[in-house]
Amino acid sequence: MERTRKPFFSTAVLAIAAIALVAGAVGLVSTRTANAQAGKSWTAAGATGTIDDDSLTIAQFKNFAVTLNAGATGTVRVRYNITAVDGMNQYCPASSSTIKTRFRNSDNAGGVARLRYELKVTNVLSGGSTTLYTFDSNGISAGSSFTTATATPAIDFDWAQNVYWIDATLFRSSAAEFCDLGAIQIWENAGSACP
Amino acid sequence: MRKNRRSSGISLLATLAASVLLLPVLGSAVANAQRRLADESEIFKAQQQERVRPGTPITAQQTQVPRSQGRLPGSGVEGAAKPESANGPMSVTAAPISNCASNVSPPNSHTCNMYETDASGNPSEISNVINAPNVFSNGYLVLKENGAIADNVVSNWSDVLKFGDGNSSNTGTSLQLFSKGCNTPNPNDTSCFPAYSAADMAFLVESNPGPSVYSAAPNTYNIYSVDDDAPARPWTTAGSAGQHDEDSAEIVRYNSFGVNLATGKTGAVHMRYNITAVEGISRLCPASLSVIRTRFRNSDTAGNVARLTYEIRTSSISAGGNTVIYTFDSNGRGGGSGFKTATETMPIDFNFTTNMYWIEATLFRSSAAEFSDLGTIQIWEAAGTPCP
Repeated sequence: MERTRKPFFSTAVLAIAAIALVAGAVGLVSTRTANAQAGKSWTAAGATGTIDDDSLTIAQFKNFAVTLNAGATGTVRVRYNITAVDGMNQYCPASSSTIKTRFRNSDNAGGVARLRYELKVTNVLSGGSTTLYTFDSNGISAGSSFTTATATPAIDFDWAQNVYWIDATLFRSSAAEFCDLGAIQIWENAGSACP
Repeated sequence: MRKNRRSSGISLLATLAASVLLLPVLGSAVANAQRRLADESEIFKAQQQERVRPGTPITAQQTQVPRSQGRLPGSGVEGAAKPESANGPMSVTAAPISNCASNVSPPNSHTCNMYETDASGNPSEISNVINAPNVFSNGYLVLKENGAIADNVVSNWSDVLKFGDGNSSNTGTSLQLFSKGCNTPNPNDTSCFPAYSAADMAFLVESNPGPSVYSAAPNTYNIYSVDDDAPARPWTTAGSAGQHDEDSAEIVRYNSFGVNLATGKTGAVHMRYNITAVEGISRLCPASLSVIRTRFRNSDTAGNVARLTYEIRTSSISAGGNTVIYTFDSNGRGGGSGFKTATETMPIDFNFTTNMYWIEATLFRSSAAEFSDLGTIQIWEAAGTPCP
């Protein structure tokens, strides 16, 4: 009797179940890993930066964002200090970091409205100013709503030696255009595990 | 057969159901394991991995025994208890001043805590001389910054603890700590260190964070030296990322990483910076020493026509208050038209459980031709008791 059983069904189901189990586990693990990496990221609301002295008369903080005053045109410069939260220093070294930017820009060509920012670094002992990453709203998509752009530049943050900050420029030549920096989120996303 | 197949199907379903139920558990376990790994990786980046783990006792076996004597400097000399030594611990002082105390057990042994301070508790890279309660073998203990570099490379030495006269043929009771910088403006100055002597020296890799623990049986020496290498996650700020006071809006100028006075302007710019509890500034429980590294430019070392000062202040979340715990002053640090970096060690413990911290800076100049710039600030807890 036993030998008349056809084991194909149970074997196939077992195989499928095993694959599903592995896939599910992998899915869970990868999701949780991603969350863990971003869980202690550095974040900044656009409205918490330092407005440059030459932009004080045309800049405004509005909710989470920074933008130009109603009716104002020109260029606003804003700076953000980046601090060494856990997610900014979780690989030794990092091969890649994730930078998410929430912004609004109504001119995809950048002729009348454009948002740019640079992530810069200076050495604590020797100084200098080097740009590690540049965000540019041109060509990313334009509109009257906020959108989020994600980049993964090859940046390793070394806080033992350096200080990092963001230098943002919000430009518009027409008061009808939008140019807003909403929020920035950064974390190291890949690299060699620290011993 | 049918019955068996049904049974087989039920068992399969049960297996699948159990698997589904186990997934979150498995996922959670994996997530927790990752979290632990991440926590363990928080301490240092690759360039600091050679250092001894915080709080790990360093035994005599990990040091090099002076070759000619076979005795460790600072180790006990049999039958040589110093009769006038007081038993019991020394009185606890608020400032980290070097001290020694007899141990209850074993007899005629002691534990010494050595700090980079003078007899008044002021930061000093040449400590005051103290005496141990028991006689020991003389010599030197050298703390190395990088364990992979040969012992005779003096530039790799961070601190030297001198026992007695430093001659391993003799015995003594006096102790003095010398640290790189040697109380000169050059943070890498080693002029106060002795010449390399394999016969008289033992070597240890400096712990980061401290203390470095040196066991020379039956005695123990805790060296609260300050590692000039910042940990992986110090608190940092660019000078241009602070908030200027409303009374300074007309004369402030943000320029690249720094802040200064606008071209042609004179007066005093007031800036503020919020300090947040990143890992490197809250890693010891408590910290005995913290390092504050400032990059600045000031063209008047006397401070009459240009001066940069800033204070680290603290306020209790529940009780309030406004206490200055550190003051930086550009006076006496050498003027010039270029940026320079000053590193200071102060007995500061940052306790973000109860307090908040911020910086108030004042950039002053009375002549538009002078420089007064705040470039960057980096702060970390450098020595103290590792957190449990």
